[in-house]
Amino acid sequence: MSGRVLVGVKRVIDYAVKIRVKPDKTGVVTDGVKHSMNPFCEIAVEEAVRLREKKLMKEVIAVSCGPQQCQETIRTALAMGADRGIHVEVSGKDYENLGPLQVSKIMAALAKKEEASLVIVGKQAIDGDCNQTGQMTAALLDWPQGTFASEVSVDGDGLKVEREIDGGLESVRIKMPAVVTADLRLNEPRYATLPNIMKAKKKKIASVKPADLGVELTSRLEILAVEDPPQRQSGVKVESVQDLVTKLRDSGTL
Amino acid sequence: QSTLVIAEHTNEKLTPITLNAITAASKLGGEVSCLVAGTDCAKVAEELSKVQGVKKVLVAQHAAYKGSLPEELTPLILATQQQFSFTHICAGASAFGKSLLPRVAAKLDVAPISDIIAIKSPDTFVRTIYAGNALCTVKCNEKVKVFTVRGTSFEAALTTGGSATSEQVSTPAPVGMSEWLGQNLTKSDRPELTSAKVVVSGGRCRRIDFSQQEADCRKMKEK
Repeated sequence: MSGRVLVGVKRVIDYAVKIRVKPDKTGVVTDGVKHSMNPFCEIAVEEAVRLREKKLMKEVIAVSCGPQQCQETIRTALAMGADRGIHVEVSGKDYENLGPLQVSKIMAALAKKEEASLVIVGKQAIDGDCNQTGQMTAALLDWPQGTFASEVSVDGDGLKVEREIDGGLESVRIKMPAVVTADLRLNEPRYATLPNIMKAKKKKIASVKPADLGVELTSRLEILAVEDPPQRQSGVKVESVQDLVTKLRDSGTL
Repeated sequence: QSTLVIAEHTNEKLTPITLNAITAASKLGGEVSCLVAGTDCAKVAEELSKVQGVKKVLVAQHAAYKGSLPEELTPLILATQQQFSFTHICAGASAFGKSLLPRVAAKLDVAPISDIIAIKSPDTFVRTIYAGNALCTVKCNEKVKVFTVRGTSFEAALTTGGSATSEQVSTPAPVGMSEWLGQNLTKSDRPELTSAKVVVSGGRCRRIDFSQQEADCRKMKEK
């Protein structure tokens, strides 16, 4: 087997940053805040690179949709071992409206254009927590989906995917071409080494516009407000289980 | 206005989160129908027909629905939607609902809303973003609203007292691009996190190991 893998990488606020909600409730503060690659996307990149290293795939293409800064995210993927990048330029108002439906239309169009035989994306982004893009890309392409994957292996002309479900694991066999979404246990992403970071600077990143791919970015979702969650009351320490049970009884929980 | 709830089940029993989704669906107003798709799900259909708030149970049986694969269920839901033109389609935000509903939504060309925790009006929902560090109120202007429901945010619907009618729906031809191989569920006498009544958290901050924690839980259960 020697197909192409398309990997989606999203630029998000770094997982270690404590987010702040804007006072006007329109969103969260992003200016001057550290951004990095969505952790689930790192796992997706790692998996794609491993498939190429095992000679099961011939090329890994990293895709990111968003403003100019997304190229940094693509560079990170290139430093981890992706072969080339595609930056889908979306900025301003369009970027605010960019949701999983729009991104999956872009991913599906690119998968066709690049004749990819596999699309790997993270199972969800840590900003919007939508958990939709992979499933929707698969739907638009009419491909099978291996969501929340914790193990992927090539099995004949298809893939065997171990999936993380609520009570444990499930395994499915899907035909190729397919979409896989990466869960936490799929692998441990490598760190980009300095020589690889230098090499990544020479790799190519192509820029395209959604219109070139025939994708319309209108969104019919409207964000009315983004607010802080209700403040949690601080807890109390109890000495014994007996105390705890009494307290729970008093509060009517038990 | 009418809502379709996609039931999650094991062919033997209804999964509890479906009851929470039914409550959410009832809050929207309008008629609530449930779709049960499986290999041998008459039992589940009967269970569902007694749930309060459910008007109609749609049953689809076919060998292809083994393992509830989203690739197979999506065409069924689309066919059902074409027949009944629901205004809302929802399911519980479990691994099942989360892998299925976005696929359905993409096929309908609508943006789904994941893991809602509150319903403000039939088109306005509240969901968490940034791992619960912010709440986002979203207005959905799609012709069909597709969403998944966080089970712990809505009470479970009562499983007695309902009297829904049951109806068979025709099943589209199997797609056959995926195959369910098997499941390996962790056996535990404790409930699922998403459906537990009491959650005892612990770990590093309590400086004790989890065996201590489990002992505490057992004591609590006894009391």
